[in-house]
Amino acid sequence: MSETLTASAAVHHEADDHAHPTVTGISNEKLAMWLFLGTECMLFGGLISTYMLYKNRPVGSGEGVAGVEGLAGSPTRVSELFDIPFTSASSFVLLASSLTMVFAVSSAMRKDQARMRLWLVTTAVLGGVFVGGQIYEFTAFVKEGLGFTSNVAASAFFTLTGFHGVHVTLGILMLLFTAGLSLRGRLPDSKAEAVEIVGLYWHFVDVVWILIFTVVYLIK
Amino acid sequence: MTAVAETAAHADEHGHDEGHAHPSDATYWKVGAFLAVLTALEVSTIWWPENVLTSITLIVMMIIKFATVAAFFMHLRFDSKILQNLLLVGIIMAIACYAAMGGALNFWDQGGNQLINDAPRDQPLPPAPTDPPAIIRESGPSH
Amino acid sequence: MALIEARTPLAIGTGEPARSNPSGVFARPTTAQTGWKSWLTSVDHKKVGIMYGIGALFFFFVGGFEALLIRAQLAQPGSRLLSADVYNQVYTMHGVTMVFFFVMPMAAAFINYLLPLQIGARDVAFPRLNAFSFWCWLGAAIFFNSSWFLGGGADGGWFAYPPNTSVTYSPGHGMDFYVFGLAIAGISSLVSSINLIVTVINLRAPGMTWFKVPVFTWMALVTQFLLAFSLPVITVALFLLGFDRNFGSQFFDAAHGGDPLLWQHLFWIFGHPEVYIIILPSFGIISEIIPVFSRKPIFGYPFMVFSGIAIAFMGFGVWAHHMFASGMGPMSVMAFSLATMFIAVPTGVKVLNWVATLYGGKLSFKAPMVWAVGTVAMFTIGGLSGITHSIAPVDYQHTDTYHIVGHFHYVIFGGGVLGLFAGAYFWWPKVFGWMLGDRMGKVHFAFTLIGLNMTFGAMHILGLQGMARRYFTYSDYQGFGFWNLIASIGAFAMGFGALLFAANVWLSYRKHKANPVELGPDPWDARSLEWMVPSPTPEYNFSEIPEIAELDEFWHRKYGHDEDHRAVRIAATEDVAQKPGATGIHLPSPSYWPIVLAAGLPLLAYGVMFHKERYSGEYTAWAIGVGLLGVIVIVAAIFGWVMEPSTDPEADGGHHDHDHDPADPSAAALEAPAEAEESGTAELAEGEPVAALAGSGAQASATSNEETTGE
Repeated sequence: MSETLTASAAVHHEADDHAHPTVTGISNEKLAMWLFLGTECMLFGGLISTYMLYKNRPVGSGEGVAGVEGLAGSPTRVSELFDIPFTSASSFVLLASSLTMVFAVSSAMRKDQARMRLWLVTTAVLGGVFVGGQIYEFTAFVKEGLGFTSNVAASAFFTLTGFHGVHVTLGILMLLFTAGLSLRGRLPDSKAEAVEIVGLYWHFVDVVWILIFTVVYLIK
Repeated sequence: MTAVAETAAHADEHGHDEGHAHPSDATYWKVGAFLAVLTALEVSTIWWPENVLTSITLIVMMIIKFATVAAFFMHLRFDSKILQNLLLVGIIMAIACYAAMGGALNFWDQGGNQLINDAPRDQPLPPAPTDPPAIIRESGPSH
Repeated sequence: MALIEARTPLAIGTGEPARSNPSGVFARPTTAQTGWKSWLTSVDHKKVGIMYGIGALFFFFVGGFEALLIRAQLAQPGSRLLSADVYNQVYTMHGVTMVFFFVMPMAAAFINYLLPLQIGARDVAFPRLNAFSFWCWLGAAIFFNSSWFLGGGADGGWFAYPPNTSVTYSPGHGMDFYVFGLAIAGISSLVSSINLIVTVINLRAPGMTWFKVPVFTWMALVTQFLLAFSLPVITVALFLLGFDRNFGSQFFDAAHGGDPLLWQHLFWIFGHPEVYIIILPSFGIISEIIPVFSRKPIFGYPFMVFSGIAIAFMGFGVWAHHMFASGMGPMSVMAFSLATMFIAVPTGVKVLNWVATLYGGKLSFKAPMVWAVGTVAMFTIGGLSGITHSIAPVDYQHTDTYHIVGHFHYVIFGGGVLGLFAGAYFWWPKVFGWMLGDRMGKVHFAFTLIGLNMTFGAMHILGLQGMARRYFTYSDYQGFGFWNLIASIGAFAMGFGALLFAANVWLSYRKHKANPVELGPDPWDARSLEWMVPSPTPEYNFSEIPEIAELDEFWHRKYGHDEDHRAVRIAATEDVAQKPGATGIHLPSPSYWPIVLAAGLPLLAYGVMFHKERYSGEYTAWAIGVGLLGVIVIVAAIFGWVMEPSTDPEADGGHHDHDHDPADPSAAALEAPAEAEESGTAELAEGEPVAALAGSGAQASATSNEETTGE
């Protein structure tokens, strides 16, 4: 029983010089990444909940009433400043980047490293466009008078989208780094799974954006 | 040995741990198109009436998109159930904990249902009792 | 599963072979390195476990000293030994240090050392990440405690409720040390939890199905899941508090629309699973000890497993029982009160199972058993008082009084810490090859037991008398003086007990040095796999990975049953246990990057914390420099780490020292002279290690084509 279990697991890896027959047949790295993504659900869940709690909270009254400890800070709710068409375009860009990521993984599986690099860089560029869009959107809000500390709704918004943006940026760095490794010949074909694992992270970041876009921008 | 070599070669072709079925590139394009259409539909809701039905539809669409990306792009549909379960544990725990937290923080009933939470700030609290409750009055003053 | 790296080096585009420093930065540490430096770069789970233990023990004394300061202050009414501000810092630092820098890392010490052994593996799934987890934790511990020297400790309580911890009421840097210190410690634990979960899922020995996994490993696994899913929540909370304190947001500022209760919820969604994180490893420890010293298997193994899982699961549903008096409505209070009552059920199942294991057993009250039984008793007391708190109307009287303080110290100290000491006495011979003095261990226990009951028993009474917690002093006429004095005396008794432990370690070591006794692999006649290997454990753990047929595999190799179902010895321990001196086993190579990366995090934290004066707004050059240095170190370390293969391809190249693959003819030819010099310890037959190490029917080819640890 154990013989066949490990034998069949071992067989899959005969071709790999990175062989590790694991009990489940799933590589340690892949299992670890999925576990990590499961924990990220709790992280983003907390940030999204904070935003949802605060999005309609009594926001600032502006100057406050003389003699009364009122709600100082901006009276603008961040949702009033949304530019949905612009953000929709950003969403399409990130979605497209998920598609290109899938093609990168596909190419890696087919051992076509040149194609893979092309798709990886495309994904990174699309991710960069997304982050650029976010930065533009944030600076626009600040110019319209709603910064990080303007009121609780704004703080929650910037924290949530900021965390997401940082995750996207780290993902872009990982994509470029992987492409770079491949370019320098340091990504053997047997390590194609590394691309898949980076892809898992990237898709998760896209999925979180799907959540954020709906909950923050679209639902009234 | 030949069986081993065959399966090894098979694994080799995919260069992949499990050697499971992979969707073709054409399938990925189709899934991408589906997601794009769904996103366009989501965006179109800015012109829909602002009611609970719209919100529910948006949430349903969100779940479908989430599940599609997870199943196809993240390959969960073709992978071991363990991976799917790890993600599900995270999702379910997050929803359960944060929904309960929302309940305790008056999120689900912004009108101030005093069973779930104290009245929100713009409504007065019930009047504080002035007399001690009967049972304490009956037992006499404490030392 | 063996952790052996295939020896084919990474293919480089130019065709040149990979060198041990492919990024050209640092030469990789080799296995030739010995002495204290080898500990800095070791990725061996056993060394990591020992380091966790030493670190945790140090901070036990730090936190214990803080506890004695508290008790000295409270021994008499109106004492001015500590000012209110200093008292706030002392009790906050005591709480945080004890929870995050003593109990959790001490449990981690046991888990790191034993988990791979108990599942029949050679190391964890990601050895370098494991080392990183330790160094990152150590950095957090030192960073957090450096607050004492850099403006004052954290002063908002370990639970850090805003607005008390906002800049208005806590203007110093103490709470910033809290925010950053716990964030860094959180990274350490999160990484470690992912590592250990993957290890248990993927690296169990052949034949070890889930219900043959020892209870300690099960409890450790459940603990890791608790860590993994609760740490992100406190991460959110810490960031929000950090933003409030440093960047002017108002997340918890009611005057600006924020909600202090949000912190409480987020903190306790982490905080309640945290207390199960504290207790479950100790439950696992005593579930191993009691069967051994009762010469009976654990009663109701499946129930022990399922109750552990149930506790973890339900542990995420009871957090607001810390908030009964916070102004939640009756529905919420009722829901959490019910859930809290229910969670007593699986815990009670465990207590009953331990008692049932003892019943009818052939009891031997050596030191580990004494501590273990003490754990069960003390935890039960604490648990019973906990049940009284679960009834919300009753809790309205108990909350914020010393009744609660008494309760949680019974469960944390009486349950958690006593269990850890039980484990120390039990596994000491396995780790170090010599035993701790048994009689002194019992004296240590006596002082601890008496002290803890004096201190925390008295606190229950004080709570009922109405003494509120978190106050730096109390008045003469309140009538709290007597029991406070008893509590303080008890605390010093516990302190003395702790010193006895240190003395026991020292004296037993001296005794061993003067008169070494070969204990053999299995001095307690125990049940699980770690006792099957020599003491102290060889670096490679198992000379061959065992095949597992049943739970308590090692025991069943020693004992069978007669017709009356009584245990009957079927093999001598020497025949069943593994022999030392196996060769040809390849292990993950040491690495600098874990400690380097871990060093960068506190540097970044110092930089962010001190970069700007809080009120004047002036920038501080040195702090910005330190912060930037931290960023550079982190980025460089990650780069170096990723570029480095997890096992040094040159590890068995030309001139190495010991291990090589006997099936590799070329290496064998090179090594023939070296091998002849090696001390002739019992070597296994040629073909065996390779076949065993491969762990499968895979052909033993010229190059060892075994499994590897990924990274």
